[in-house]
Amino acid sequence: MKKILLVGNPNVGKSVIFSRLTGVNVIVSNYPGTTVEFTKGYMKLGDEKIEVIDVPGTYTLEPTSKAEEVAVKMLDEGADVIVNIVDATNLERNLNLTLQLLKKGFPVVLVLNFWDEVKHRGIIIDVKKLEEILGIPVVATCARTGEGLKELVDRLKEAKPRHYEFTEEQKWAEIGKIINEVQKLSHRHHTFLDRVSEISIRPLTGIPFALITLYVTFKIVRLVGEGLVSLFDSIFNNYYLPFITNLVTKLPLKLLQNLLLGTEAKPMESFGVLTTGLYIPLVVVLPYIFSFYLMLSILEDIGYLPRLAVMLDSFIHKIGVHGYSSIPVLLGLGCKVPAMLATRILETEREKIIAVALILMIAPCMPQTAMIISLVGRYGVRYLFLVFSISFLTSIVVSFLLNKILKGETPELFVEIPPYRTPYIPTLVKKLWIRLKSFLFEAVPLIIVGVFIAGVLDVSGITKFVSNILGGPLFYFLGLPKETVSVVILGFLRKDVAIALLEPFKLDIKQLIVASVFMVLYLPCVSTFFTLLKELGVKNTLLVVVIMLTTATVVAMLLNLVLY
Amino acid sequence: MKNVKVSNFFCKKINENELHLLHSMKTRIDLTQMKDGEKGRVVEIVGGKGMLSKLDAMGIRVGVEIVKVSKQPLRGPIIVEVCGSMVAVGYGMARRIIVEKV
Repeated sequence: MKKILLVGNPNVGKSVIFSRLTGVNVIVSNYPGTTVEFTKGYMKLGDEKIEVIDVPGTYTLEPTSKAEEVAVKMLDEGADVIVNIVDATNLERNLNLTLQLLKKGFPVVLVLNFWDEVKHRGIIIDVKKLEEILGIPVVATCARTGEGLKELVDRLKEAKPRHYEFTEEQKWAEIGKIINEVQKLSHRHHTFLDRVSEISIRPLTGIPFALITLYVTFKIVRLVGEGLVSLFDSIFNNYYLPFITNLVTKLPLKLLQNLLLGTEAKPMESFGVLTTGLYIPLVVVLPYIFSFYLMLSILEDIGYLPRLAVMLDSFIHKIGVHGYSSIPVLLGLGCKVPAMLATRILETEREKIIAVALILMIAPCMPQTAMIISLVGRYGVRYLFLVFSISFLTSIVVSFLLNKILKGETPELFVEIPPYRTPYIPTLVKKLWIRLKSFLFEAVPLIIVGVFIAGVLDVSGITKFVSNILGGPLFYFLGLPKETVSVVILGFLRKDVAIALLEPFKLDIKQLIVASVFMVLYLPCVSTFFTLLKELGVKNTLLVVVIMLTTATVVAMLLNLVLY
Repeated sequence: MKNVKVSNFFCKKINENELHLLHSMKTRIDLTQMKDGEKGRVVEIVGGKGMLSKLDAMGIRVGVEIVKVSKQPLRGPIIVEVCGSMVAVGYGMARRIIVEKV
């Protein structure tokens, strides 16, 4: 036995079983040519090392989405055993996939998961009988407690192909017949979680519920994020910086020193690869990535995200994005980088472009918000309100226009809303680690390269040259002092710091508003830019950047004309 | 009434009159017209093959019993309980699922 595939509908506890079967060494990769991810790990059975693949969740073998296409392709590549995990509390619908697998002649072991819930819900399933009818090993498990997993492992070798013939028309009748024979329903008790579930999907209670959940989530994200930033910042400044400065200044070439350390003393304002290049991704972005992914994974495993998507779909669909985009949009209020990564769940390129434009312009990221509040807020709350509502409205208008201009239509929301479940901590930790790893090894190197390029441009004097050219138009069209050009350019590295650096220019409130709005909208920051490049490709990234620059310039120009 | 907007990917555009005709038959209503908590049996699904198989995979098919749980405002998704699980169906799709009250 060499390879096992875990196959099943979404939300059947597949990843918990995967976690239980495999060790720490887990690899997440994209299926070739797609953005659909799957997880791979290994388990030991006697002396054998068996590859275990967690196939993306699918309802059917006649694919209706990209994830399902990938699932079918992976099945077609073949495996020694297909472990079909089903939600035992919802046997009827789940058996649809099981029968399709059997029809195709795969060697299947059937796993009835959530066995503990079955009892609570007054469902009685005759496992032996089901085994007889289907002619394959059937194992009842409760993945969270580990019940039944040993039996599953022991019976893997019993799997062999068994052709189960039926026509497409007979399919549901066949399933009905099986269900009648093996399953009995007694009275079903409403549980506490059922009630919470009802509350969270009815509009009247669901919207306040969503607002409270989001508020609490963001509070925690900020708390954890800020705590980690200050911790990492002190480690960086007190230990790393003196060490690396000392080391590099021993190097012979001044130019090399400048490239590695930057020309400014402060780690956030120079373009040094070993200073800014590491400071931005690791000290500034990483803590937020961590705290966001932590909360996102918790909400995801509880089962709240589909409900949130449904609640927000009515609003967000009007501007051309799927209810599911509400998740990246919300993430983007904190930090744009995880938001860009989260757009992966969107299926079409068109949706991605609209969602990305929306995310980047709807509001500044959390650090930038904080800076704007401290700079603009002292002139009065109404100015703050003005800055945020301009950016909000602009993003809506731009998405609305993109929705009209870009070809195609937004597919309708169609999702299962799983019951609420308590997250299983080891799976949660594993998922969090996988997400952090993908940021550390995929996004961070790109950000460092970005800082390096910016550093080269700075050291070689190109930045200065460009500043001189752009200073004039900036003054003429936006009414900002020529010198602020340097700040605008720096904003690409750190959008929040750039706002703070406006302070010495003694701008009046009008200039401050124009500058703030412009710097919220004009470009994604370097981290976001390179993440975007990876997610959308060069062409679409440039498209988004052009859209942002144009929008920012137009809006700021108008503001400069209108405000007095 | 304006054209119902549904993705071309899943189904062919259907004639508005056709829909109207379907609805005018007395007992037949579509999902969006059901009241919260009401039970119905699916009698027809107006849509292309893609949409049918998508719904079928989630257990929504002709003959099956369906309970409407709630709907979101502004022509938002309709939430139904079918086959033991809860499913959110976009408004345009819900318009094409015709049920008979039970």
